[in-house]
Amino acid sequence: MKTAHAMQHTDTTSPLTITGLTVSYGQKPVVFSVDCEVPEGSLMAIVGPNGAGKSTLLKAALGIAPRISGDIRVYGQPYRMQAHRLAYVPQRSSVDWDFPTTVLEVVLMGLFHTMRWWQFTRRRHRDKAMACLARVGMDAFADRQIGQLSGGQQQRVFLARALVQEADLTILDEPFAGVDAATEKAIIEVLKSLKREGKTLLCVHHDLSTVSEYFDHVLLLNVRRIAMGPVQDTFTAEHLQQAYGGRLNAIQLERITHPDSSVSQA
Amino acid sequence: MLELLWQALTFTAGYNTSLVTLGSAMLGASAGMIGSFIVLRKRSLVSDAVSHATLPGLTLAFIIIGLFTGDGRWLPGLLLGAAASAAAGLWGVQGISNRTRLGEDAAIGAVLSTLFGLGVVLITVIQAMDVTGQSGISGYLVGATAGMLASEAQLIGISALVLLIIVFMFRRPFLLVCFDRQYAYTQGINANRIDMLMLLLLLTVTVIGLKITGLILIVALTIIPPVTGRFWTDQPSRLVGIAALSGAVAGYIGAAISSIAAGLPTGPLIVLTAFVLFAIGLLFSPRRGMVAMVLAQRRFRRRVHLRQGLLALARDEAIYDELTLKVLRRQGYIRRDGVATPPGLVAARDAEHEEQLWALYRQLYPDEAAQLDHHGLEPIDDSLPPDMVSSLETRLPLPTRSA
Amino acid sequence: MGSDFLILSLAPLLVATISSLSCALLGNFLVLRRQSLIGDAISHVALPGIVASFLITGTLAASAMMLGAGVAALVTMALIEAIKRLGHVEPSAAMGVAFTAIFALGVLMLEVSDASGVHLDVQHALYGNLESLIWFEGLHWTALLDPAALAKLPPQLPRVAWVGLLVAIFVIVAWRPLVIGSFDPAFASSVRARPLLTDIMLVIMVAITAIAAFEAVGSILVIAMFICPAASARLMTDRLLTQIAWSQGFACSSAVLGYVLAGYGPGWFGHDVSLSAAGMIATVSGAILLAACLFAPRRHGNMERMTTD
Repeated sequence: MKTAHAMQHTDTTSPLTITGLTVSYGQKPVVFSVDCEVPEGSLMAIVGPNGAGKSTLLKAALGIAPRISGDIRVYGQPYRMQAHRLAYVPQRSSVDWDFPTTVLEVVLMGLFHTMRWWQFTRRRHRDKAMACLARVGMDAFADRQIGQLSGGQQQRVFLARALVQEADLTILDEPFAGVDAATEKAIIEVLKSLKREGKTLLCVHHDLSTVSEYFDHVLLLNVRRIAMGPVQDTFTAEHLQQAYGGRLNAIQLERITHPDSSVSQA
Repeated sequence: MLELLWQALTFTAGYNTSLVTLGSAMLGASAGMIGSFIVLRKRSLVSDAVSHATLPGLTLAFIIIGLFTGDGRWLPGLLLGAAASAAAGLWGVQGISNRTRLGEDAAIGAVLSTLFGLGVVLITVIQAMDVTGQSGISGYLVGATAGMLASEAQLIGISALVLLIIVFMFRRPFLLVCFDRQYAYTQGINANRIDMLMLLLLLTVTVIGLKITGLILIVALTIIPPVTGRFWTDQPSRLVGIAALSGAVAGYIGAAISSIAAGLPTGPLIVLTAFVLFAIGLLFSPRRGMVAMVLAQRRFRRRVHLRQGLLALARDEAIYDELTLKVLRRQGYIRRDGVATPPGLVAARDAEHEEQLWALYRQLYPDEAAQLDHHGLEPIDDSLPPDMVSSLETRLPLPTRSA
Repeated sequence: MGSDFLILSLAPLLVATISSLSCALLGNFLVLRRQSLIGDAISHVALPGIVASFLITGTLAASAMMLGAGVAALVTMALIEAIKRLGHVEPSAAMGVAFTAIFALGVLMLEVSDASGVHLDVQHALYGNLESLIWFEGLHWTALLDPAALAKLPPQLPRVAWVGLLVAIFVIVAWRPLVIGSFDPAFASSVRARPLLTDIMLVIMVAITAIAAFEAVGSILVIAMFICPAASARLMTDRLLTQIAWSQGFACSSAVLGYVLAGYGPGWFGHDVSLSAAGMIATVSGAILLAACLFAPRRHGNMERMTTD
């Protein structure tokens, strides 16, 4: 629907513009009247407590979850016309990792757009996929069956599949959930290098302590939009208190919003 | 015709007919009861595998009995054989889905089709044999009550009654295991053993039902009544009761209808009666029926659009959504040209005010707020106690406090 | 012997083998998507579809029967979806409600109408009749090169052959959407690989294949052809192409072995009878699956899945 915060007048080529989005399961709104505009070239986190509708927001933006009202624009146009400029990394737990396929084949799935349906994968396709695997440090695993990978390795493969799409906007659903520290570091390095190339990234994130370190923009969500903007202005104790309420105590809030003052990370 | 149906329904159409009708009703009740637990455990189609798996045992028993007596039609022996191979099928489904990477769906499909195939092979063996009663075998596929002996009807009726009593006795541990295995363990219930008992009873119902509904349709009696029950209640114990009742009604009416003319098959009529009961629930149940759900969804959608529209008015934002505009117009909150009317402005201010009260409430009491299903779409006075509302009012920042 | 084989066995053997191959090909995707029971539901409702088409058109022409069965399959799938979505019923229960009710309707129509008189009977529909596919012109091996004699082959043979070809083309053409949609539906819709359309196409192909095979082997045994070879192959390997190759091998060998055992097996023991070939094929495919469950190299898959249902 509408509720455009004078947004209609701003740059319509924002990678992702969501206006008045409401999604519900049955009679229960999971996301209510949310407006959101992802600035071009940003690395943005969606943060909120469990059940705040973070993943649902992404799925509705991609047209996977049905919406009750609201309007979604990708680079100023309906999603279906700009799908090729967008890459989606679903939650790792959403697929059957016992599926009979190899790491390389999963990455090649990312080339769905660029290939005609009758086309076989050629050397250049495989080279491209291998290059993306190398970028996430998984090139040695190209011929592995995906079920033999660890959680972190699976997540790296998913990221490589998104890389091969060469998308301008990449949407990631909990990429750091249940991965080892080394993988987390590798993934954030890749995301930051994508940002340096001018790409836009939108990421559901659950670890509050790393928000300021990893991201430059943040959307605080709890069914409704709590706050949105650059991390230093938006990721404040007050806003967090609004999103999480009593679930965070004062000490936690202090540590989260001023990570530098706490013990430095490993 | 109607008179015959009336006679059958009032048990005045002869001893055998009455027995079959009564037996079907009891079969329906016990199948509905035991089926409820199976459906609650989300294993409905296991009974499909079990019922198809009866065929090889049935035919093998027929062959063995036939070899010894010359006539394979001895119901207790046949049922015993059927039970044995159904148990083997059940064991096969469990084994495949627990011990290999294959899912339960593949296990069920594989077991039911191969054991049925084996049964078909054995049927051709029977056809090549020199025993009487060969044609009787096909009656077990889709059921045949027409030529049922009184002794057979009695056997089925008594077994169904016994089954009914057993299910009734064990309903509490069954429910506990379906609902929460771990808790059942802490209560000193051996969940595995209860599971086994459930499946054993399912198997017994299947075998008893063979003669009445046939092996392909008996599965319907263990699935349709419980699903029907689900439309009318959320309470498991009532669900079992409603399932038993609708199963009994289906068995009773279906068998009665089939008794009025020679060519009417009992099994399909019972299943179709059960389906009609199901369809009634699906359409008209006030809680989960389609009509009720569609209306509720429509109302909900409009409520969302109304609230979003009012908030937009209050915040002086432009509205583009057609449905939102329509809902606002119909309420008299905006004029044709989209400008807010005086009542619209009042409503918008109230909505904004309420939204802020809710926001405050969510901030102060996040856990309670999360438990409210509507997430602040209901009027706050209806959902929160008045003292809470007034305390929220006083804590609201001044400029937005309502007059 | 030579002409005997040509007359009595060539057509049934080919029909059985081709049907098995095409069913197994699609079966791979059903097993991977954990939708094996769609094959179950569709083959159960073929009978009501055929009876209904007979009652409406009054003929037993193959085209009318196939159309009827196809419509019944689509109606059933729509009914399952409706019950699932609108009634909030769990999928397998919705499936059980829908296909048993439609099957019951079919049996009722069959018994009440005159259809049971005209060689349409329940047993036939349930376990088919491969043995009736006789090639009267196959008097000598030279008949295989004689167009006139070939034209007299039982019509079921060209029918399953065309369907087999169609299935093969479908799988090749839709390969990428099929694989992506089976592995990761959310990603598939994000790259607009049309997972919903692929699902519907797969169901339609399953229905077409089931119906073509149905006449020869009967509805319940079609389920064995869909599931058993693909399930056995799933236990052999972790590569999709290899799995499909295994499934084709298993399908072919169970068809041939089953047919031979049914036709000639009793003769080896001195009994001059033949057993149901369709039943025997299902039994053999089940035996292969049993062996695979016990000995296949990848039967356990990868650890974690074992704990979830």
